[in-house]
Amino acid sequence: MANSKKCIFKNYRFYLCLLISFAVFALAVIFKDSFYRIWIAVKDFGISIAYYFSQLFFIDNGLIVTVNNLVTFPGNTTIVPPSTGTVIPVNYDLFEIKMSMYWNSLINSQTMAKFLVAVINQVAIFFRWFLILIPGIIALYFSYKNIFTTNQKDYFEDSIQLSRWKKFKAKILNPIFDWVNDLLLFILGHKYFWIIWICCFGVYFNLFSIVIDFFAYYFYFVVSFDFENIYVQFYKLFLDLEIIFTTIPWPFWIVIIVIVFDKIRKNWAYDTLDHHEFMNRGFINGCGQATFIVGTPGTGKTTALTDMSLSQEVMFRNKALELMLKAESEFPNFPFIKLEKSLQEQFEKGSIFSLSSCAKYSRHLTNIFFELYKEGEMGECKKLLFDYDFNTYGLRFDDGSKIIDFLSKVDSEHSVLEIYCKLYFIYIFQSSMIVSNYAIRSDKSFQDLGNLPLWDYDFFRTDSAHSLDRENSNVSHILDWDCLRIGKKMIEKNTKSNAFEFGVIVITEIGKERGNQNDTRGLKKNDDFTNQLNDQFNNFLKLVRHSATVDNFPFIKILFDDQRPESLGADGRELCEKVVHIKEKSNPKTKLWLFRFESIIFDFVEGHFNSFHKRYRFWRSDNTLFSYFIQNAYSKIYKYYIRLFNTFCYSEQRIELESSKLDSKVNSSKYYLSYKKIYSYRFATDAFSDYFYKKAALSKVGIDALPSFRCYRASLNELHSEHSYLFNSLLGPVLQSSKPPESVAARRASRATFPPRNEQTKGNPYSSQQHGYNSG
Amino acid sequence: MYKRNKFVDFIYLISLLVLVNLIAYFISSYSYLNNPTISKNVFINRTLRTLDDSNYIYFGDLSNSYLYVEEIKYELDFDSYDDNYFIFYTVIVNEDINVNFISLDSNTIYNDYFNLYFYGQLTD
Repeated sequence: MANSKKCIFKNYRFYLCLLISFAVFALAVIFKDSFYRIWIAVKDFGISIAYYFSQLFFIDNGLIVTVNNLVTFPGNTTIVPPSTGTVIPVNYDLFEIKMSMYWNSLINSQTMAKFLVAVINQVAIFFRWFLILIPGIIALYFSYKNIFTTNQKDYFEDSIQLSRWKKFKAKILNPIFDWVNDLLLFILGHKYFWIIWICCFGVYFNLFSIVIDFFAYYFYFVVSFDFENIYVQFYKLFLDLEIIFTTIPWPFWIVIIVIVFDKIRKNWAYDTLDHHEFMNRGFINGCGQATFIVGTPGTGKTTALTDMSLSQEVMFRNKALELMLKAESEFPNFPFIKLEKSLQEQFEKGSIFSLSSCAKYSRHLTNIFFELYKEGEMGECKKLLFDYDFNTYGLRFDDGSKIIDFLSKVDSEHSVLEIYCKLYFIYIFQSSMIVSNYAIRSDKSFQDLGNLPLWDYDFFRTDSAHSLDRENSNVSHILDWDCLRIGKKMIEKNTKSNAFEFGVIVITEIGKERGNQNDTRGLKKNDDFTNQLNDQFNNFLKLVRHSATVDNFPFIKILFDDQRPESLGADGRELCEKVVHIKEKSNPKTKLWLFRFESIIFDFVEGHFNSFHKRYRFWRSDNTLFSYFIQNAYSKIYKYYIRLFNTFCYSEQRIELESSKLDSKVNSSKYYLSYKKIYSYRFATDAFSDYFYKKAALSKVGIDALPSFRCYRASLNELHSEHSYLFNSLLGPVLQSSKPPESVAARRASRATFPPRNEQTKGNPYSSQQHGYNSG
Repeated sequence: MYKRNKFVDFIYLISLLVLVNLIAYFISSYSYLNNPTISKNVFINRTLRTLDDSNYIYFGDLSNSYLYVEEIKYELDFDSYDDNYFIFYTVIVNEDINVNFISLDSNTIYNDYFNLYFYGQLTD
């Protein structure tokens, strides 16, 4: 501490901040009236407090409240500062009159004419500036034209002007920015400076006076109900604020208004995303325990599947916490925190790792308790229950329909102790709750002060860098299909086959794994090997909720997807309460105010920049000052726009919800996909790409090695080389009897201008296979 | 990316322009009330005599006029004017105004002149 103090005194920024502080103090000379104003406010407050208590205790001491008086500044002969007299009328009657005048003058030819004159004046000012800028614009235009007059091949070399600019930036601008940045960091790191400055300006701009006067009026109002003087308070407020309006220059106000507006619109957009998330959760809950999502490729079924699993995981943790709090309400004097700490110790030791081990732990405690109780060891019993005074507060609770036991030897599964242990395990365990056949990343952000940790479930407001950090992420568990087989298993003594108890099972392309009746034709239940008929997968789905139910709530959700509902066998399909048909996905939408305006501007800028950039890249490969500025400016605009787009845009999926029997009434619904939530490296749309990569790696040749058609009409040989079922069946007899004749058109084409494919591309790996045949 | 319809874009931009202008118009209209363009000295002799060429008079700024407001009386006759003009003759006598200024010493009236502000256009 002492060292850091010494360091501060050696830092010149400290003395600079002191200098700024003195300058801020010196401003008191200009704002001297504010000190008088704050004194009056304190006096008003004191009198109001005295009035409050006197009225409260019916003491009539003739106290005259001053909070309704207008402030007369020393030296001023007028009550009201001259400049404000006309802006806000001094009393409510005048205000009414003025408003009446205002509304009457609103639709009035003179007012309109005056406004038009003002608009024309502004336009004239704009054109005056434009005229001044015209030579610059002309110069810019010619320099732009000049860029494309020469074919430059200085690959990524800087022009002389750009080199000079970069030097200027490196030697002058960057040090200035760094210095300012360091100073700001220093100020932010030493809060006493900026707090003092804010306090000073709070006094100068009457902000403290406003707050004090507010409370002065509040204490006066709650005992007097003086509605008549409310207007006076508004009037005084306006007078107090006048100083801030007149002192701060208008460009600064524009900046403040833009920042405030931006904040408000973003909050509104975030609220909309939150609302969509809650609607999605309602939708997921309405779909039952197992849900089958179907849709044509491109409608976003795997995206919806992933999105649902993320929301479901959050809902499970929320539900666990909700039930934990319910248990606490039933036995409010039990030291649950001590039980939690004991459970945490067991987690760390590795003795508790599942719901069944939670049950084992609680049953062990219960047994010991009852043994000690039988022996009359009340002190030990109390110690065992973490010093819970069960004699005073009890171990039973009648909820109206049944007796709830805190400890139960007979019905241990429904005892609060066992339920709480399981819920705490579900709530607290750190890895993902999702078990899937493709990777899904979920957030693992929670706050822990050593008591009850709280999970951060916000998908939208978190910083991408933070949530993508490996420490703050969970990736789903690999689905071992043997976990879902209660019949024959693929690995006989699979140690992990009983590991799954609760969570979210997510399976994409289920039909390709399980197949339907046609796919499984030929397989038998009594086959020696594991197959879809003897693994009892469907029975597992029917029974799994029994392993996952805690406090009568099933912590299990099964989500599948495929292209068609019929891809999965009827038994498997009918296990799902609902089949979700994704009909279409909307274009991106947003509720961010003025985003359309920004989008119009961005499209305009993007169109012009791309046109310029393509042309530039064609003509030149060096870096000029002009292209440097254009590219960097565009990059800034692009980054700003894309960030807004990805944070606040969403797509709506039109959904038809059908019973899994596929002959029931169809209900329409919507599902919302927020880009910020689902496209934040949650899953890979090419989840199985590694297989195709490895497959392609086996080949020694690429697409270029595939022969091209010789012309726009295929020859028989070419058709034959397709190895197609159709052409093989058509051409088979012909090819067997004789060599297929070349078509006339093909012969003509081969005699025409085009050389053979292999000659054309010889020695040029980049040559295109497009010959312009498409025109026919 | 964000897909838009050009016609909707056009309507959107026009609406935005209209909205901005409307807000500016509403604010400007109020500011015109607060920034009178014409002022004249008016003779006061315990009875206010309005100028014949005004279409309405506003007394909102009497606080700066060192006037013993209680004694203001009015004689206005707008009947001869076109109905299209605004008439706010109820403005002038308002006893509540007096409440705020009654504490002023009547000696502060050191001359019989004060500024009257005229809003809008003077009639020909």
